[in-house]
Amino acid sequence: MEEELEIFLEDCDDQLQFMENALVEMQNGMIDEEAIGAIFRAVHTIKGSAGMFGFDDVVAFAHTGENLFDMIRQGSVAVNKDMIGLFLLCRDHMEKLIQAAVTETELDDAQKVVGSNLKAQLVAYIEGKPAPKEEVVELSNSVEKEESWHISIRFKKDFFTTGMSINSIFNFLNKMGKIIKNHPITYNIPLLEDLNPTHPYIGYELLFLGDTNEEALHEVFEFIKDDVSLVIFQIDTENAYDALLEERQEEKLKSELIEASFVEASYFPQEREEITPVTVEVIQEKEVESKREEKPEKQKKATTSLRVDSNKIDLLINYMSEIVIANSKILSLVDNEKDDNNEGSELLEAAHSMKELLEYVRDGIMDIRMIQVGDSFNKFRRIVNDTSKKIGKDVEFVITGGDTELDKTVVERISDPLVHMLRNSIDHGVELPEERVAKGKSARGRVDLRAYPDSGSIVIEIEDDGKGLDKERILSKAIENGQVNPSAKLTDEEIYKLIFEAGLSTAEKVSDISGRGVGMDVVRRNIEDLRGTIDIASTLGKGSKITIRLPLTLAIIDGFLVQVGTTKYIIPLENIKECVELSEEEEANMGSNEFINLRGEMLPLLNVRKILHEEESVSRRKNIVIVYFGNKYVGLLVDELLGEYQTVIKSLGEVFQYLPGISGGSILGSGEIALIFDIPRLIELKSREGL
Amino acid sequence: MALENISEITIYEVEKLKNIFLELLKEDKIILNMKGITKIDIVGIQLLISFLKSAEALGKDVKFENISESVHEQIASSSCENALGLV
Amino acid sequence: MIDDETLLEEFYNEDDDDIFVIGDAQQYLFFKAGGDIYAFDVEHVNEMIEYQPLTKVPMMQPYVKGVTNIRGSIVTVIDLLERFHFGSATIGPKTSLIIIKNIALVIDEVHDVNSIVNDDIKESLDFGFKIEQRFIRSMAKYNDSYIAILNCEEIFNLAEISQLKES
Repeated sequence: MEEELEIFLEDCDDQLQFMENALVEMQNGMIDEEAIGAIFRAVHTIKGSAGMFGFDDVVAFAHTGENLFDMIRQGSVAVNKDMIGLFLLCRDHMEKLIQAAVTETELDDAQKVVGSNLKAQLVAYIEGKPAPKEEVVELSNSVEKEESWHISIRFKKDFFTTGMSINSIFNFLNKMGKIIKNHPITYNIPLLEDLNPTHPYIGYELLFLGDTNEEALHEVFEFIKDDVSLVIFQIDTENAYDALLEERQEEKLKSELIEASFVEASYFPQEREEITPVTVEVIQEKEVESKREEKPEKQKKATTSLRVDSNKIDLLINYMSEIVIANSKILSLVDNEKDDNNEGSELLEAAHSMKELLEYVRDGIMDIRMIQVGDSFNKFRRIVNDTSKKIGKDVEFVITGGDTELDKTVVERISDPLVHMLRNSIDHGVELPEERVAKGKSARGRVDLRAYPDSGSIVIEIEDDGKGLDKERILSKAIENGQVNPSAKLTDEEIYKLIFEAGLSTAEKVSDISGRGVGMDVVRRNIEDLRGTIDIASTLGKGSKITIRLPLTLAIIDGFLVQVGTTKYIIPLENIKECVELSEEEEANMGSNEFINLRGEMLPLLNVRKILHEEESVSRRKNIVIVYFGNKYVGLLVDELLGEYQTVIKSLGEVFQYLPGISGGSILGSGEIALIFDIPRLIELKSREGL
Repeated sequence: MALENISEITIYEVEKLKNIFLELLKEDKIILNMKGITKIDIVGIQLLISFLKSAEALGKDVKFENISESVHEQIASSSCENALGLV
Repeated sequence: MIDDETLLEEFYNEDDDDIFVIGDAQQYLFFKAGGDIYAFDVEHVNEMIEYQPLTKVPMMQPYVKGVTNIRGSIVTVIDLLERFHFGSATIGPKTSLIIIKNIALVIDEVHDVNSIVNDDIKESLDFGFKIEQRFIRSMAKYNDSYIAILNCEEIFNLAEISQLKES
């Protein structure tokens, strides 16, 4: 997708989200000017930017919504609950329209009917005719060489009320090419007493460098062409600036153009007598110029954030690990040099400080991937709202720790599991209002979603004040399913954790929200895929709390490097219990069994060499790394233990998508690739084989 | 003077602000505390420029204080830092 | 992710005299594998590099040899001969990797980059050639004999090559 379109989509997503948040708040009874204003602005912004791309359908639909909101804002139409529901539907339809426009697809007939229905309802509220569809011409992309253009913009009386933002035009121009000079014309702005604050007086003179033509530049303004006055020309056109002065009829324009160095003073030689006052002005303005140069850092400070394609960051991480590898080669070369004649020490020092700096840079790059969880969490508000409304429950949804930062990929991948668990909490946890009152609780239930950092990982909690988990029912169901031996003695915690097993839903009746017994096991699987853990605590009658613990980032892992034959493997440290040496005696005792006796316990063994068909290694020693997941333990039989290793996880590629037990690869300092064991999956595999 | 109860200088507020500013012009020393302002648009910028001009015409000095990063950014994207004397 | 220009450029420069393009001609990369010459459309080729050691990955099809590190990217390595069921490549000083779609193919020797006029390209149907028909996109006349222009889509058919080995 073209970059502009991507930015457009991201902006629209943001605006739709603002809209949704405000609508949900309104649904909860907080109908105030702020919320209405927020929605109005969101619709307005979408309309404006869609117009720049010529997305007529989006514009026309947004326009109708905007009209109604404008009336609400001015108090001529009152908001009611039905309307809010309608707006939520309109928001969804707008999202579809935007998607369709961007992907150049058509809505299907059903969606079209929905759209015209919604529009008719909006119009009914407006009680008038819908605004006529605005004519928009698509932008053409003719390819020509870069030329310098002058663009002179004045606004007509109603420009501000069209809601178009001039900044979006600047942004757009900066994507087509580059605005080299952007000079606002302010001399037409009157003194305060004469000012009609909603009339435009300001103007702009731009110097634009771009690979375009006059027609295409005019098309940029197509959407607002009736509300602006434009003069566009190539700057080397003869007497072009004279023509501009002629067109504008503004006596101060000439001196402005000279002062802002669009042209030299000598460009207009024919009227020498006027030059004198002009030069005085130039001198004064020059002082301003030099002041400007004195404080360049202030201007820079203004740019605080920018959007970056996450692929670019991944690419940087790739290069970064290459640099680290290259540097470690330098380090070892320098080390050798030093052995020969003691002169390498300065070089060694330099190489070491390089290494340190590179680590800072690497951490810095990793940090870029971190985003706040709040935006993602806020999207759940509507889901919570819709879900609880649907089943007649009243739920207060409280988010804390929205500013907690987590790797972008983790945030994206945690979203679906969280939605599922929130739905569960509302559906199975929180009771109906009358039930709650009967139990002496407040009629309104509460669901908390919290995020906070805790010792190197991020904890996300979902807590409800509902009825809690029924131990007995879970246990009897599990026994019934044959998942638990009737004679087994389980702790409370173990019983609660059973809800994450497949096929165990204790909901009495299956609803369309949750309760089909698929789900919680998928949730657990998703979280384990992110190398996270999930726990649950509950008190009958009081509520439940699910605690998810996630690594800060997916990309970095603390591992233990081992070697089998010629291949190196990394085992995540979090899965390692201990390492023991396999003595020859034990090996002999073992025979062909895949077990060893470890301090009286039978430990199943996984011979890595065997699954790899490795030839005999140089080392005669054998080691066992005891790994665990949950309460299952397996010994991995390996040759060499090479020590702890912090490493960047990389995907092995699509070819290996079905490969179980290996979660990725890591490039070692030597440049070779080590495979990273996925211990949970490996243990699962091993236990499925019947151990 | 702090702009109380106003969080943005935009088309939605300019009418109200114009009147506030007209009152302000009666003061000798004008310091606008922009602490609570989170948003400004081109309409608001135009109003501020007009306000500055009017003050200048009366020989009065106007200072802006506590301009937030985001407001500064919005002014910068309209290229109006110079016109507002913010550079 | 992979700098596709440089190596090919070097290659062009070495054999500058051999490059000629007339009318409807396409550039092809010619290489040897198991004693035969094959070709790929250069459009598909990202890069060619010397053979380099790889890391074995278990449980995959025999022709999926493992992964190797190309400038910080993990790239899958596939032995072309094994893919054709012709035994496997013997690693020697001229053994090379041709990188297409982030997969490296082990081949015996890069031979030439040259163009073939479209008139010299025939549908592959009537040729009784020893490799499976589906791997051949078309046949082309090259140095007075017919060689196979390979079908990348089929050789790198993800659904097929990502299958695990039956245990």
